[in-house]
Amino acid sequence: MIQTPSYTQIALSSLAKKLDDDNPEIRAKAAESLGKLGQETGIPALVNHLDDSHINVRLKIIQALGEISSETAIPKLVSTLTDSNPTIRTATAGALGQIGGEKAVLHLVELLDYDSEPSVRIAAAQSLGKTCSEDAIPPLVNSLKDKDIQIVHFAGHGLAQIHTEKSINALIQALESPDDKVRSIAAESLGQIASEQTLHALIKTLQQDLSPDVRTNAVKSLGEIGLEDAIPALINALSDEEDSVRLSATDAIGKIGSRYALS
Amino acid sequence: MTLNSDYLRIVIETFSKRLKHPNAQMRMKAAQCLGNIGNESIIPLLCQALEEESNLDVQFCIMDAIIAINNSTSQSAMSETPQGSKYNIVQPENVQIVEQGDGIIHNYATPQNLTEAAQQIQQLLAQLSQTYPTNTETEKKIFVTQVDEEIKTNSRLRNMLIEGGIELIKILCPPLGIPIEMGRKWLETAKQMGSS
Repeated sequence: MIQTPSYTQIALSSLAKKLDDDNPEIRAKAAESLGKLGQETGIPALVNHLDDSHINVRLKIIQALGEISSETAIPKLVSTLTDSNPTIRTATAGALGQIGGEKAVLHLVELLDYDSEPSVRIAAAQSLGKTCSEDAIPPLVNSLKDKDIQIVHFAGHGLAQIHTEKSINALIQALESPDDKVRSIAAESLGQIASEQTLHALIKTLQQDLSPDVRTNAVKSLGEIGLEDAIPALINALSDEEDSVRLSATDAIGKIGSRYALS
Repeated sequence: MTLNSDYLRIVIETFSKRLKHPNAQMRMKAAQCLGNIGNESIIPLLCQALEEESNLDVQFCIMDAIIAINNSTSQSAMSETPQGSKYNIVQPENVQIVEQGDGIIHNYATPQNLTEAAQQIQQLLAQLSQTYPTNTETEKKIFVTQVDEEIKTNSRLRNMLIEGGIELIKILCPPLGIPIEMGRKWLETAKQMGSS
């Protein structure tokens, strides 16, 4: 008996055929659609067209592979990491972030460390956070020292996203960094993690840090976390010498107050 | 809320006809509407339209519709018998759905033995159509005559036709692009010769 193909398979082969269309717009749309279909069985057709002559088609194929999020795409996908066009490399970094896993992390670290284009490195840092993989923690911690402030930003937020004891500790340690920017980003990132540990670390920073930016971010994060234990420290912050700290403290107290009033 | 399966069939037929409308905007709208129905049985119809479509925007709409339908139906509902689920027919094996060139879907509920008979005759007709193609009107007439000759000499074929009656003819003719009226002639021939 011949097995009837499922409707998804019918849709898949019909769309895959369009990857060979003469019109690049159709090819791009077909790639995008295969991504939306999200079927692993669509990967072979997509990776076989990674050498499409049209950049937009290649871009859509890479994005589609990210959408499908299967590690099986990685061996062929990484061929685009040496593409001369930074847009393509950025897209690949994005796709690797969606796919995740140990192999994706390795390739992303390589991009972060060696790519000549700042935008590609930023994308790699951002993607490392998205993988939510423990393997990404050491390279991200390392990136907190990067000269590029955007990379530091994504490294900090990436560590918060990974949300494990190790990554949270790394951020709390970064609150002690000699660099204002690093402390500021660490304080900002910790707002995503509601725990007693982060609460105390942020309160300590609010009370002791000499940089107004860092104190402002600590106040904002305490507001985000929304635990009432932050209120005494925030009330003290209302008499901070810096306008931005006092303003943010008002907001934060309001946020926490309304949260408790509602519950 | 879902449509009663009869109405759903009518709606799908109506929209699928519009997929072949000369006006591209009409075809786009038809694809969108079919996508909104969200019934996975529409997918083959849309895939076929995608292959035949030359207009860029319409192709885009068809692809969007395919994705919309696929993503609106859960993976677990994926059917192994697409033809049956098409119209929520209880016994898909007893039904043959024939899609004619005009885009109208005809479905004929047929008893099991009729389906078997149809399959056997279809094999025979397929062999004949290799020698006698059915592309033009003249070729079709020649083909019908040849089948007629076959009916006169093949008693098994006659029996199957007499037993299946007009319902069987309705199954056999559409895929070959032969009007049912022309096929009716086979049945008459078979009845004239009688069963043996």
